Amino acid sequence: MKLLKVFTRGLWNEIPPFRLVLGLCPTLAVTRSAEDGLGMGLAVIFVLACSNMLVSSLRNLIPRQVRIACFVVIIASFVVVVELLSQAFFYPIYQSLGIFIPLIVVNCIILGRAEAFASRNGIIASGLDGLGMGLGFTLSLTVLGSIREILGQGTFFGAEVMWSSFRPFSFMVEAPGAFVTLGILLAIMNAISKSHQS
Amino acid sequence: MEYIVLVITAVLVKNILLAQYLGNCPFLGTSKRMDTAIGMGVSVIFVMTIATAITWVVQYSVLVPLKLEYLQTIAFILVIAALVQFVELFLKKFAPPLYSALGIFLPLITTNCAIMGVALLVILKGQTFPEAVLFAVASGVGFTLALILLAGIRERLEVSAVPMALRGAASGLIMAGLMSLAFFGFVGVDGSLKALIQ
Amino acid sequence: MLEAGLFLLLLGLGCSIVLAFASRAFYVWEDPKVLAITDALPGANCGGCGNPGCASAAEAIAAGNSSASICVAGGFEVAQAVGEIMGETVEEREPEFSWTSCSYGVGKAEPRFTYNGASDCQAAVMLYGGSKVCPIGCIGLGTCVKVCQFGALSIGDDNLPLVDYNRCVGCGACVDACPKNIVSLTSQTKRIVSEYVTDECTAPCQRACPTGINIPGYINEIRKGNYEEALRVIKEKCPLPLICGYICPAPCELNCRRNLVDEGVAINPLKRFVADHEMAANKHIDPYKCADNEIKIAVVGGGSEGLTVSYYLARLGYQPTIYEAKPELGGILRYVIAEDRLPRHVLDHDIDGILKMGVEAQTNAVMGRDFSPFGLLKDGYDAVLIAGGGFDSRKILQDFQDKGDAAIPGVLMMLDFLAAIAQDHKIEVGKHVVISDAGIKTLEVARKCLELGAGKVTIVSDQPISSLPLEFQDSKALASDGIEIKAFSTIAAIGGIGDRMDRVAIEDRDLSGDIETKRSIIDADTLIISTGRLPEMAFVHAAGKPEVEGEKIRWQTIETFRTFPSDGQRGLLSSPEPGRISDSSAVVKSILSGRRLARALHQHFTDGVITPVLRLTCEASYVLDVSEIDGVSPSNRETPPVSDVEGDSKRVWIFPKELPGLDENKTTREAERCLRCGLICYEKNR
Repeated sequence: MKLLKVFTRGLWNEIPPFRLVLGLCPTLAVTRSAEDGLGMGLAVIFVLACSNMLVSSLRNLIPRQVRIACFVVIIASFVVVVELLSQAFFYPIYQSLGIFIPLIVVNCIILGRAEAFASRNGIIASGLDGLGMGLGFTLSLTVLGSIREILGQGTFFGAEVMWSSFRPFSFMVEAPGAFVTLGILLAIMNAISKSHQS
Repeated sequence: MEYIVLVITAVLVKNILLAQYLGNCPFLGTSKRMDTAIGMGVSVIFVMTIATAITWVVQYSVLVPLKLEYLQTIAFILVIAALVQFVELFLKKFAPPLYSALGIFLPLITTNCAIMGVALLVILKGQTFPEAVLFAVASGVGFTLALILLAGIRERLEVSAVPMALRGAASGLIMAGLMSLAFFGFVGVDGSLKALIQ
Repeated sequence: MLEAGLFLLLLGLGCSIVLAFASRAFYVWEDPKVLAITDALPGANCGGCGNPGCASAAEAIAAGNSSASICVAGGFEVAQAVGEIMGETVEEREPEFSWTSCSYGVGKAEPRFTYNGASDCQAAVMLYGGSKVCPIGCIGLGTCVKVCQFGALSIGDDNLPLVDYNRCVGCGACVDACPKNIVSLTSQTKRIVSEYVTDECTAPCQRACPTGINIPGYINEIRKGNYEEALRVIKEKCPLPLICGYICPAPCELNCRRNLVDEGVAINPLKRFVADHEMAANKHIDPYKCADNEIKIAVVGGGSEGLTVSYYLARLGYQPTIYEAKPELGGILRYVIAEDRLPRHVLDHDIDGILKMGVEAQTNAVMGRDFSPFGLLKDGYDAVLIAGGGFDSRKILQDFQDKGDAAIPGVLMMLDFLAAIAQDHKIEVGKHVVISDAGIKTLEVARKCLELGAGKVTIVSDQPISSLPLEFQDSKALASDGIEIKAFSTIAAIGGIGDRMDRVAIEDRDLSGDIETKRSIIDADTLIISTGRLPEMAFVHAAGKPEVEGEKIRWQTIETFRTFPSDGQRGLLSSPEPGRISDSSAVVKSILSGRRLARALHQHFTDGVITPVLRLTCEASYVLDVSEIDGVSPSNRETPPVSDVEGDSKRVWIFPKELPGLDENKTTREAERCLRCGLICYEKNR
């Protein structure tokens, strides 16, 4: 029951990057299309879950003073793994994500979960937390990517979905569209949780 | 002359924050007030320049000769983390006023993806050492410019009647989107400048 | 693979060696105390202590520049923790809290224009000082709420700030942020001794009341039926509500804004109603009282002024004892005012209430015969107050002076002096005589003193030399006789040792320049006062309480009130309001002087200095008001039955034995007539 809560927390209550406004750079940069968003999300799930579990298993060995450096090295190692894997098996995605794959290292969500959760909890819970948070992140990225792709290119996962006379807003695939879409989604989330509370 | 184009491109046309999506977490976090925005901006210029210079050297005099390019991510993040720590110690000893002004921002910079991003970008673009350093300075200036502009807008927004749901990060993101749209106006300036020179 | 592992190992090693070296080479010593204190402080960086943040406050504490208890936000617990680190003991301080003074928010108050700009008070006041007609009214845009780091403030439904007293720590961030001074920091003791100032929201009736009772406040409580709460509001400022209810001349009613449409609200009968209610229930409703301290104070005089001082001192936590010459307390109230107007059981009820606050009383104790001020200081009192009040206080001095047991050593009345000379009585003066005021008889008295053996006479006048009679202006001629004129000066204090006066402090009234240098102390052993009455005096130890038994006491008087320096109303012989010495023409006026005496003493024992009240609201000050009101329909004032003469025709009283008050129905109706005024606001549609 408690583990379930740990897992589901990342899906709504603390869903990144909406509730925890962290990890914005990849969120904005790689959501030109739903596919890129999903790819980035999967990469983050992998790194987050693996690094959380490793941090958790080593939590009693790592001295407190150098814990951040250790976390960074652990995360960086998994990022290299992802980098090499995607290069080998998902080359198109690797190309479109560009430097944002190595930049997963500095994604604050991952370091944040390592510090706030994994360094204090057991392996299973940490893994589930990583999975939950990663899934939440993937979900957000996919939604954001879908909106931007549908409006900006008229396609969804590469398939045409809009009517033939639809003229895509090229604004949406560019940086301004990313900022504004995320801002509006954040506002909607705020409004929903506000009305939820009252 | 090429250097001027490089600087203008980095500051205005391909602004690291508004066009390249790098460094968004500190961007939203420290743009609420003008003084923190300036502090963060200056720290970023400072660290970004040194970090890019060192990582360039690491890349071309260690990683490439040893054929270890795939360890780039780990190597860079380690170097940057150590560098930030070093700068912190150095400033504390030799420039206490600067330390007390920038001190609280330095730890945040380790996880600022703009630093890592610029270090990776100069390698990706295959720039020479002077180009790389200049690019780093210009990117830092671009970051600071965007940060200060947004801080000005957000300070004004703070006292306006903003709907509850849009308060905080949501309106900050939308403002960043509009700023980004404004910076879109510079697209093409680099090309025409280049043509002018030739 | 091996290469990669080796590389990473070397890189890690390299980085750690550099950092290890750097942490040695760039080592900066940090005071562990500073770190510990920073941890102990709340970390809110509210700035309430005067430092820009908790870290700099910690440095200041560790360096010994600030006391361990400067943190206002953390309260006593934090102060204790910091004190432990510093090895100091800290005393508990009275907590402060923020207090808002505006009662008509935007929407209810008269607007000048509609403001649609940035929703920030500081921005809003830049446009003609805000959108309200009232220059001191709350703008209601909540800048105070934004700066509060403790979530203690909110803007209520009426567009006015609400303070959550459980959360407020008294850091004062809101006070700095508010451009209108609506929010101020106060404490219970500050509220007890507060005076109204001109830039504060007060109702006309409140300003007219010498005691400053919050009249709209208590009428509102009556309207709600909370009679006890109403009495508590009254007792905040007035210790004798029942007595005032019977005999107060009620200047408040003359100033009631309802006079502009019909008749003033029957404010005093309303007060009497709630006070009668208390008496009928035979209990005493106590107002707020601070924690007791160890300071013992003797109050000479048990009239309305002495009772008031004692009441206020008891509320502030002191241990007052009244010394009264007559067999019973009450002074003029008991021995002069007719019983028809002020029944004695009424008097006794209010005096009982004061005694129950923790006031001791000794009756049949005559100053000069049974005790003297410095004798009381010697007996362990920390201060002795003379609240002679309206009685002819010359009696106190005269009766016992020729027995060599002077009540107040060295102080003579000019009237007594002249009478003694006229009757060829033997009179002794000291070596240096100071005479207050330059009047018709002053020079005659001065010359007589010189004849009687005084070496020097100094005449002190509060008038500038050019407005004195001509004979005072030839200072050279006077100087050759041994007479010095100190014009535009005032006698600020006297001091002495044991039963001898030996110094007089004189203050220059010309207040340009540094105020501190304006006071000069001259050695003088006789002071001749020309006012005909003894001023209020507060004697304190000048050099701390004596440690050795039998040592002579060095004493001095302190100023009893101080307003803004430029109006020159200060010193021993000047009075709070324009005029001379406190006015005892009505019980409310004695209450006012009593409260101010208590305020001075409280400031002496807490801050050590008597601070002036800046912008004090007094009769002479200009306060914003309205000259006409609209939206108020006339209604008749409820009056108590004038007499029951018709019902009891045998009696020939013009007044009945006891004037009846209002009954409950009339009280409720009358309370409804109150317009709940502010400075210029009032309730319309009433």
